[in-house]
Amino acid sequence: MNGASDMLALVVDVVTPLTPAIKAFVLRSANGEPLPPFAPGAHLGVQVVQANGRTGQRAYSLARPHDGSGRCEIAVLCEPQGAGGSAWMHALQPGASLAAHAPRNDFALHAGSAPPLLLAGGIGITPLLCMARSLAAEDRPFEFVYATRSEEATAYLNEVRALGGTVVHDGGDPARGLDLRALLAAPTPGRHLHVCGPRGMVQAVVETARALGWPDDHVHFELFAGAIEQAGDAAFEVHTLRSGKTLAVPPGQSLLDVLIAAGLDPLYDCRQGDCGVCVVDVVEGVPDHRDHNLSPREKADGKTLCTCVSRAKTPHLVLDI
Amino acid sequence: MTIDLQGLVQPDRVHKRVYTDPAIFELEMDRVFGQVWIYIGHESQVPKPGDYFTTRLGREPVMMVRHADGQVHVMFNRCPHKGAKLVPDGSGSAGKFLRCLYHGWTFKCDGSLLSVPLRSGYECTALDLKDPQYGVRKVARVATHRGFVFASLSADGPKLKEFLGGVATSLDNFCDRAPEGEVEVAGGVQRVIQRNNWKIFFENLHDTIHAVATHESSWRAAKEEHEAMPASTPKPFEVVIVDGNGEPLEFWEKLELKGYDHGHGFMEGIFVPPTDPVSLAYVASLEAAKGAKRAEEILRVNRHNTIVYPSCSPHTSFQQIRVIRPLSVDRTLVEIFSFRLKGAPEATFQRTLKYTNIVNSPSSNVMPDDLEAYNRVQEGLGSNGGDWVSMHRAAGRDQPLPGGRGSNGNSEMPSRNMFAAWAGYMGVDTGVKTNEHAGSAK
Repeated sequence: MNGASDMLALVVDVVTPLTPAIKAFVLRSANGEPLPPFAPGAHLGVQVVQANGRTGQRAYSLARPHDGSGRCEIAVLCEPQGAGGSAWMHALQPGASLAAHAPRNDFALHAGSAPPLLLAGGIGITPLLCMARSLAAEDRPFEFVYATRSEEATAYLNEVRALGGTVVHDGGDPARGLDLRALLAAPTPGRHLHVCGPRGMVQAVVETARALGWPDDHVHFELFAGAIEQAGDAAFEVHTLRSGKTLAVPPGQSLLDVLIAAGLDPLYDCRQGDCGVCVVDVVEGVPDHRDHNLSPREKADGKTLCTCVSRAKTPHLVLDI
Repeated sequence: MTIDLQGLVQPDRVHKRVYTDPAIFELEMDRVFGQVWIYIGHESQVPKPGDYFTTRLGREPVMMVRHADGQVHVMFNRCPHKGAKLVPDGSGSAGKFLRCLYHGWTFKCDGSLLSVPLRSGYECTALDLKDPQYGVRKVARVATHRGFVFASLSADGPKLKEFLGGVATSLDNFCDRAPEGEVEVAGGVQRVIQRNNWKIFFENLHDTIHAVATHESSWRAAKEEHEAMPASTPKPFEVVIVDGNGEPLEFWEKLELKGYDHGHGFMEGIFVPPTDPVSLAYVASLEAAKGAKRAEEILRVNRHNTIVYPSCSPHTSFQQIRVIRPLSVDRTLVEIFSFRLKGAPEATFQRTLKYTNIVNSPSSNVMPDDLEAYNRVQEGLGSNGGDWVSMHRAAGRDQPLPGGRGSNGNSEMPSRNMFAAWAGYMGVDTGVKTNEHAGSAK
């Protein structure tokens, strides 16, 4: 799936500043062919060049439903303290070439039998905007709520309002944010919740939903890489074999936290690489061991890894969990 | 040291040493408590994965823990690393795994080793972390009957159902009395450390004729209290359960006692099913769930104390289990657990608590009478004023039953029955042909 075979050659068509920190990019296929089909919630794995000169991969959700053409739209938040991938994106001019993995979808829309609830935080708007646009085009009802820091920091403000969405600004103070209990309310059969945003928000939404009795299979979420990147740490992708998830581990966020946020319920204890409780089996990929638990031989074997501190030397890890 | 036990148990009397000799107590720990099925607790005491409950199995500190897959395990409460008890005494939740407080070794809730810190330090040493000896050791056998968990330190012996024999019906009736057919431990536990040998407590459970003498102060006070009420006042529940001890000896004579193999037995109910509103509401809830005919069948099984020798005494009609844990030859821990009948009105459970508090609590007006008697027996037996303890009353008049024997309510058959089992476990020749024992005979 991730080999060169699914790589797309793309060209930047239009760049539109949406806020001082966010730009929208319309990309088109270099050969003019239609893009492979994708459903709302899908993302593009774009190859970027980081400040250290190494290439990396960034997952950017597609903001507009597939229209059968060779064009698609993403939006990128520039993170000056990151590893440089988003800054590289922001420097792109129309006509620039770039490569990306074909769209993948880990955050599918579940329209269900009741109007779905779409919840976005910050740059997490992109997949939900795509869902809302798709539902509106089919004239299907939905609830759409979008939380941002301020009006100036709000991408797609008019689009969301035009789609009937509610926009809330919390000024950076979560206490002024969404009343999740009121918003989510009691679960009703067929009403699916979709949320994308910063980790804290996604966690709060998922926990509130659980507390209110929402069944897990009615709650869908995706994290975007909003964390501060550590120098030298690259993002990587992890595939969990037994639970069948593919997750992005951004710089600055531990693999363990990504597993927890994805609802995998892993075992862990010390969170500092001492106790060994979080050790899992590695099926594919090379671990970057940073723990004090595994023996030198176990580290050399590379068949196990402490999820709380260790990362990956390869872009992709497959874990037996 | 070889201990000569021969001659200590006779068909109608026992030597005082069986209650007072510390060496015999140690042998009991091996030959009785180290072999037979011992009541550990009820599954409802560990409702969720990670929940634990600690107790003693003979000399051994053990814990009952529910694993992630829902299965309940009974294991030694001992870390295989340095030996520390893994969980504190009592009950609680360990979370997703057990972590020793001493060096942080961790174990899954089925006892298997999860992880140790500084794994690299064990590289190329004789300690193989995959060796099962570095998991928490499980007891030899665990089995449940209607949610009641029993364990045995011996890999051999009868299956639980066979061991329980005629008293399995008491545990069945305990649960059948719930409209939903299940019970759960509720309301905490009362703990009493008695200053007496454990067998004295067991014998008293079916000793009917002590009541009128030992409990005179409380039953007489209860009677007088009721007499002082206006003439037609129905007898309050609190009075019923206390003044019953004042029934004349001919009342007890008419009751039936049953003794079964392995020392078990039960006493027929001493309280006539009451007709007050609380009882009637409970009966209605049972009839609604099971139908009038089945409810009547269930309630017709009306028993006072049941003995599951040598570890517990269920009271089926007031939903209580007393758990007996010998601590030393003259110290015995008795723990009193109350149960809620699932699906019954809340007032039924309040009545259970009332029975526990008024009759069996160490701060009631009844139990302290017994505690005083037990302690006097223990101290008297320690003297040189005599060697034998009598069990003669109605000896030779027992009626054979399938798997046991029956007698009238004033017989000392239950004591003889328990000692026959005890002698079998301990390897004591009682001078009676084996097939006349109610104990280990087959």
